[in-house]
Amino acid sequence: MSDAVKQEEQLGMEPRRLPSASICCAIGWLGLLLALGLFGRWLAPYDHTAIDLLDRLAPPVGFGGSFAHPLGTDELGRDLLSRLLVSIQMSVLIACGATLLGAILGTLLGFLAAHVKGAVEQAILALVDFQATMPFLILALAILAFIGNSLVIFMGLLALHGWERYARIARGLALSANTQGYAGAVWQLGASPARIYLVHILPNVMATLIVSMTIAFPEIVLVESGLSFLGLGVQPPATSLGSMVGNGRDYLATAPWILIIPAATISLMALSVSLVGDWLRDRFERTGLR
Amino acid sequence: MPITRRTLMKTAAASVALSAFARPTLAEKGRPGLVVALPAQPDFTDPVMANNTPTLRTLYNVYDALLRLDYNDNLKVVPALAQSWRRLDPTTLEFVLRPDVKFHDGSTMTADDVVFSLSEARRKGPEGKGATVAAQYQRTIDNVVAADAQTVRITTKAPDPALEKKLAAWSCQIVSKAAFEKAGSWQAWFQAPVGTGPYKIKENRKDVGLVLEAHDDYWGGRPPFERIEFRVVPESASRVNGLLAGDYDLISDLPRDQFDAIGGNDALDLLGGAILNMRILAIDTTAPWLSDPNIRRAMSLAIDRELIVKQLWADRIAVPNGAQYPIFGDVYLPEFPAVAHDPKRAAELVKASGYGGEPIPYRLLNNWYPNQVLTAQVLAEMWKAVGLNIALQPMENFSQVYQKPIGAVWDESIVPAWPDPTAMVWRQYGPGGGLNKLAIWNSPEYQEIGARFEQSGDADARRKLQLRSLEIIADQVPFIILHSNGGFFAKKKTVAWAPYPALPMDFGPFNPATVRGI
Amino acid sequence: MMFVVVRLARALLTILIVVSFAFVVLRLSGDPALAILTNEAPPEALLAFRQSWGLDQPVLVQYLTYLRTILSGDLGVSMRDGRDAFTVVAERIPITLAITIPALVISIAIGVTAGICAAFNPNSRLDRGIMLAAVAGFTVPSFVLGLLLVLVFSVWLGILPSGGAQHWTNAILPIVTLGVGSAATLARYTRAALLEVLDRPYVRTASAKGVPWRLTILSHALPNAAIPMVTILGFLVGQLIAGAVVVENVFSWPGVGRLLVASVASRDLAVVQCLLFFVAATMIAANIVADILYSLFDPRLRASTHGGGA
Repeated sequence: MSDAVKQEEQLGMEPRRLPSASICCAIGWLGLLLALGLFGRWLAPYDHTAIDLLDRLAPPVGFGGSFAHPLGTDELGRDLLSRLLVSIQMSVLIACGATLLGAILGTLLGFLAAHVKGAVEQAILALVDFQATMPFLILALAILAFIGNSLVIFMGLLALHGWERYARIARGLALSANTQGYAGAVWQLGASPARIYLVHILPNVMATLIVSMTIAFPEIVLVESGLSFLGLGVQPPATSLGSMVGNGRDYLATAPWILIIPAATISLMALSVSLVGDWLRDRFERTGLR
Repeated sequence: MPITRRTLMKTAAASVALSAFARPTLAEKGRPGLVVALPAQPDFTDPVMANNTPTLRTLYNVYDALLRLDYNDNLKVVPALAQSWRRLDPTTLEFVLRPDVKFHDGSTMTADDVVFSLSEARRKGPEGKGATVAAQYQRTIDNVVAADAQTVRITTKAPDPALEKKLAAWSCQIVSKAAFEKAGSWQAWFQAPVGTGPYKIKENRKDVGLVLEAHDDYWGGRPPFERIEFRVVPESASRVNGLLAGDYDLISDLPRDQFDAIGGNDALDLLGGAILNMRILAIDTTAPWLSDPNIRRAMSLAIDRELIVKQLWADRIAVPNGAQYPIFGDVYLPEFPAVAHDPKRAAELVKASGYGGEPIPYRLLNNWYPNQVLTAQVLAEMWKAVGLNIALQPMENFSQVYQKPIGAVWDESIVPAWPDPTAMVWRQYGPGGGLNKLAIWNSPEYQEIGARFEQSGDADARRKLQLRSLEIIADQVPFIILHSNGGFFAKKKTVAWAPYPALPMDFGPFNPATVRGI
Repeated sequence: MMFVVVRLARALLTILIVVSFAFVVLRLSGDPALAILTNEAPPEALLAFRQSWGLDQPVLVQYLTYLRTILSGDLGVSMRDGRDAFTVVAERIPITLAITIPALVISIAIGVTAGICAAFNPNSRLDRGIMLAAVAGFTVPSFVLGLLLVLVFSVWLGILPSGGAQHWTNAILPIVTLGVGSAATLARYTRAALLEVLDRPYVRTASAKGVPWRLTILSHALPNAAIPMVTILGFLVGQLIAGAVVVENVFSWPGVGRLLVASVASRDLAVVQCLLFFVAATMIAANIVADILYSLFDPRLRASTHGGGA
């Protein structure tokens, strides 16, 4: 019967439009970043740690630089293009992994809290409260500074980033969905809880979750650069977009390309993610999943 | 790009000139005030508590000791609160105090104050915290007595030829006994300490800064500045921006890549260079591979110090010839060779050692020392080039670096705390020294030579022992000498001040640069 | 009221978790004696230090002693300057509030307004402009924005101080730097929440019935859109606190953020712990306010028992 309802709704919908040019650009850019994330390391013209102290702070092509280093070099004469490619890989890996893990963990726990009342709900809410009482940067500062910094700890920490927000949102939306008639109707049909949450409620709350994810994704990259600013980010010889920006701050006035190039990459990535996020939400609405 | 460096600097110069008009730095009384931006301030306002960079830079201007080191004359020991002194026997020094020296509170210094200042209670500090620092300088002191109101005798447990130097260096400054007792507790004392230096502490706010005011009854002459405001500005970019904006008169720890910008600015001066502080890489010589002297030699030979000095320090610092400085006077060995750079030989040594590429950890703090992370990355590449695989391991603080088992190399710096070899490598690797406690280098010969040197009063014997200890260090490579550390400052041209090639910043009348234009 | 009791019980539980977290992180991370006294300290000084801080006891004993001292209100003494940790933290709180509260107010004013404007004209030029600005404002790291503002307003124009806290004008650049990120977040959330509500059947019905558009928005859309928006109030406060850590370091602003970084660097356990409690308390308060607002905006929630299932 639910399928019939869906069909009816779809009949009333206008035919699906093709995505606009800006969406195409955004998807293209994200695809490119993903591809670079997968293969960038092998496209890099130089080893990203190869130092040439005699060619420090070379400007990019177009600003007095040569094609030997198209994007210029950094404070140790390392090729910025190569570093950018390797950084994209690291940042895409960190941000994708952390966003997805955080979203899945948070949403599941949020639904669980909405469904199972009593001690379990309170326990989940206490955890949510704890996470929500510690701004992530401060939590990370305490843990990384006192326990030590390694890539594994760092990624594990970032994966926890923002899970409590999804949990709150998912719980809140599930609770109001349960009272909004349609879910109640399905409950009375005797569907299993898993089916109800995943098939009926999840799509309904997807729009809000996706908006959260599109905010969380660049946020993780930013948290990472904030930690780099405090000296706690991705550590050399590894590199990431955030740590490139963090280290570039001392050269803002003398060699701004060191900072601008990775910062622009982050901004474009964030813009694309949010455009695609909005577009996806619109699509959900149009196909009646909303 | 709309913002080029040139336009930036032009505007910057213009705005500095403008702000110089807007805010006159000359105070009404005719003496200028000074705003100095530093990355950190001392945690405690008493020299028995610390001898670290922020403490030396600021408190040097607040306290005096019986003797002082003349930074304008190769750190010669000269009279200060004592107007003369002599050795009565190898273990006894007698000081005749300078008459009519005024403390910051207006009272007059007496022999009692000196005895109290060098007492056990002062040395230990609150909860024994001073024991770490003051003991380095006062370890050999047995007792201090006042022979009369103007004479003080200090005896040592064993002959200590370097005692005058230690007393002149740090942690032996004279404070007012009455004021200390009146304060009642160390905490209250830290709020308003009373010394005899050219400036007194006016205000001390954590993470804001330290404000000093001229002490016009200073025995050494009229303090050249009315008021010195040390502001804590941890970010180097913020210090530079603040100087360009005219908010600060003088900034410290200028990063190398700002040299051109400051040097090219007509309103600003770039100051500084190598300081008496040797940057080394400490090595745990008990660890796999690092225990092989040939690997350690190869690590040292692989380093192109000239290139690092030229590119990361703009050729403004130097590499010392061995673990020594000219301030050691008659035991300085000018002919001793500096560490060599020979990557070919290094590669051969690595090959011959049977090393198979196992990662050697390098415990790395995040820019505790200037240029630390950059240098570490350069070193890792230089070692890679001779076949050594060094793995950088980020650390957050020294207790993580010292976590056992260490099995790594890491950054240290060795300051000649007083102008004598006992103050340098021996202070670290000798009995009770910080690196000695880590048990990372076991050399009975070095220990034996050091112990003999410490008590020897004979110049010739001392020179021979010093040569042998430098040879052991050069041959065994218990640590790798990198270069002298650099200390760089930028100031407004109108400010009359210049740094010493050492950690203290002297704003008093003994700094000849401050006399200009007054 | 049950709701309040449960909420308070959970707040207490949260505090216990925070306290335990502080203990685990701070105590199990190397020897504080070495960190404070450095390895140049004589062994007897290290020993005395460990005894005076109870570091020579078994971990469980340390934990219980720790809970007891915390319960008695003793937050310890700053190892960095010997004063009471609570005093050290308390004197910094107003300094941080002086920049965070204006930043919060400004960002709510700007962010919500911009979000509403964007939502009422979806896909218009205004909407795109606002969203572009929001993304830009959100993705520029605050330390970069701060340094850029200093370059422009202090170094080039020479009209605002570059750092420090000597005068009220010193607060302007930190407030702006802090506010931009929050305003951008709020604008995006407001727009998304409003758009979602505007699309709901009851809003459509209301407008179809001929209820004036403005009234529809005021009576139906805004209160409903406020539901997801209040959930981020706590997050916003958190964002401001985290932002203050970075911004205070850029502008040498002597608030709790500077204190946190300085204390972490010198491993001043008592102060770091006290700061964690302070942050937790602030956030708990913010989240309780958010929860109350939440239940005000969505009265169904209070009465709700979900239908069927279980």
